[in-house]
Amino acid sequence: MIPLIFTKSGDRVRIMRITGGRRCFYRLMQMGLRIGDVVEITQGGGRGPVILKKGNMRLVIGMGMAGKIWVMPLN
Amino acid sequence: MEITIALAGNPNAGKTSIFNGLTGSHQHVGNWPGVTVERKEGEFIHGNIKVKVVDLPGTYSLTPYTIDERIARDFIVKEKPELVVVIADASNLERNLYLLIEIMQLTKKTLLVLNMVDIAEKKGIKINHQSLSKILGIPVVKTIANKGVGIKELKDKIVEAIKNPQENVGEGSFLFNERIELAVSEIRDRVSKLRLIFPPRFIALKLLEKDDEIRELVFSKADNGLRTVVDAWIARLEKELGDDMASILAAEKYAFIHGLYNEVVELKSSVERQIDITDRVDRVLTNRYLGIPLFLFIMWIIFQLVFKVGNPLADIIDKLMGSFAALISEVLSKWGASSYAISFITDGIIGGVGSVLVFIPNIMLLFLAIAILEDSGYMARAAFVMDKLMHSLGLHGKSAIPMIVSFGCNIPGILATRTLKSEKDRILTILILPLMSCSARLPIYVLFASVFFSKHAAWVIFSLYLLGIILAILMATIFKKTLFRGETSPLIMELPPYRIPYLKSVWLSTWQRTSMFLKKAGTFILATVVLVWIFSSLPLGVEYASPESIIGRIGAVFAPILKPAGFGFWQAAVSLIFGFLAKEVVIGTMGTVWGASEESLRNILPHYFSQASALSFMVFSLIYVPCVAAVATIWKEAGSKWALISIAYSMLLAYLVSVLVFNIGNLIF
Repeated sequence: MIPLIFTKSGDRVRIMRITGGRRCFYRLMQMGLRIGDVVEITQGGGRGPVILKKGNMRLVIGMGMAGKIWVMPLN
Repeated sequence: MEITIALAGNPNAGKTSIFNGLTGSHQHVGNWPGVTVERKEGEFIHGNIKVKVVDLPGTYSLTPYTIDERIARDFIVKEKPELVVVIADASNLERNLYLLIEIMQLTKKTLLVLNMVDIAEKKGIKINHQSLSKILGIPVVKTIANKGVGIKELKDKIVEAIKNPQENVGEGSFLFNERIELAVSEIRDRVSKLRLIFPPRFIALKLLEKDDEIRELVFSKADNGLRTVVDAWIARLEKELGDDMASILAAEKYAFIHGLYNEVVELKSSVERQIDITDRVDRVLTNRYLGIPLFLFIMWIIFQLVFKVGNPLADIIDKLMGSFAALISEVLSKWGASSYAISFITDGIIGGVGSVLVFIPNIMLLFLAIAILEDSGYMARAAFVMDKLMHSLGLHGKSAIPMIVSFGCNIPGILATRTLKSEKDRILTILILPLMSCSARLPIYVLFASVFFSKHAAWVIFSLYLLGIILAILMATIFKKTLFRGETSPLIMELPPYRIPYLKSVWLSTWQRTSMFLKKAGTFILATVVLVWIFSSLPLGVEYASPESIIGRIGAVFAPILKPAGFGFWQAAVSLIFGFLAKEVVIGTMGTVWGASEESLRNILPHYFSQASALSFMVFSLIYVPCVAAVATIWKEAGSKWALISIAYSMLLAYLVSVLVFNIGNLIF
């Protein structure tokens, strides 16, 4: 498992854990992202926010938040 | 019969299009999350029922997590609309159903709209709306709102739902696992005795979720017994189910939604994986290295458009106003009007308002550009691209959007900060927004830059905008280190798909904002120039706008203070004082005190200003004090304390910077 912030563009990852507070967790849930989802990274982390894509939805996740989301790379 | 219904839905689900379709009202269809922050109302008559429609802010759920969500939730609970119409983006149904489920916990009277079914079907998503309606027990309508498809049927269903309320809806439609339901029913029974405005089941669930606001609300009214019961249930369930209670409930809700989704959605197996245009465009526009240069490039193109295209048009208006004033003056003197009356109408009204109207082309083009940015989906990308920069300044990525909007007008910019969920981020953004140079300040720059820096006017104006940004960065850093210590809240934001802007929606938005400016020119600015004219003509007998007039004396008091900045004469002081009412008035006041049209102002100004003091005057106009309307908005949004701080710091900063600019300018020019 790695934090989302370490993913690269083009990675496909599964969301495993969210270690932020309850609020962060909820926010992601409401935006339609949940544990077990497989998402595609369209813009990797490290030097800025991450953009990920799930179905037709694109989410921007800031660097702080991206450090609290743990994912399993699939490819 | 008159009844009220509410429209709810995720941002970008097409709520505004539905609202326009239902009420025929002219509203803006935006394209970045959170554009609908104001409460909008409209009405339509269908059958013999008059339906008042309230457009709730776009939200993802109903936690008291953001102002928008709180507004939506409180409206449903407190004002009890006859029907809540939930608008869902059919191509992203799962997430949209989450909000529906939340709303169904609050009210039984709901109706689901599946909007943008054409886009969903293009993507191979086919929804069986009859079976969805049967499972949920509520009416479901399909629409393509931006093309007007399904609006009539929606009206039929709304009226039908109001006449025959569904009975089998609500609590029964979605149950948690039985362990949880046991806890819910025990807590619900205890809570229902308290007679709170929220439905008891909703409260019971929120208590189990450990929602701070509801806990406080309930426990302040209940005896300690309830708290003990709730906490005992939470401890027990968390132990049995092995997770945090909030996660368990959320997971169950999603499991239900996921099941529902699979039941009613048919995914065409042969969805050809088209190369997504949005992805391709994003690869360039949000590129790590190209993103910021492209953002600046787009801004630069906009400024070129605003001035290169706008200025010739402005000249035409100016000539027209000039001949109009000459004509009127001729007609009036034929009628034997006194020279006072002629001066009042030509110098005062036509001169003052005219010198503001001249800038309509520039302002309209700027609003046009902002509308296109919003509608095409680029605004949200701008927030993304700027996030890292914003973050390093202690600001939030989403602060970029209010900041960009503020280039048009600070007031919608201040209102747009409502999408920032942390109060701290929000106030910090509000404080620096007035440094974003709004369109009202543009007339000042255009006039001074073209008179004093003719060949490099566009560059001078561009650097004024840049100066505003740099000062905003500086002030943000200072405020962050003093008044707002601590972390900025996390950025999570949706990027809407790119689309070709709808001509109609772009035009409506441009026209709406321009007509606001026109209205201001017609009322506020007119009143100000009349006031200026009166003060310039009194006491009776003085020469118009001479140092002996009232206005001359007021200006003379302030002029010495402004001397170190290079414009220590009373006309400048007076213009700036009136400019506090609205910055458009600065040039208007100059037009009035010098009794000149814009054309002749060009000849007069060089007698008073040097290049250095012209620059310093522009800088001062940029920074000193937000206009009255902006201050009032800050007051309303952030409180009196911050409104006063905003005035005080901008005055001080304006003075310091313009004195600095003047002295450096004197060395260079």
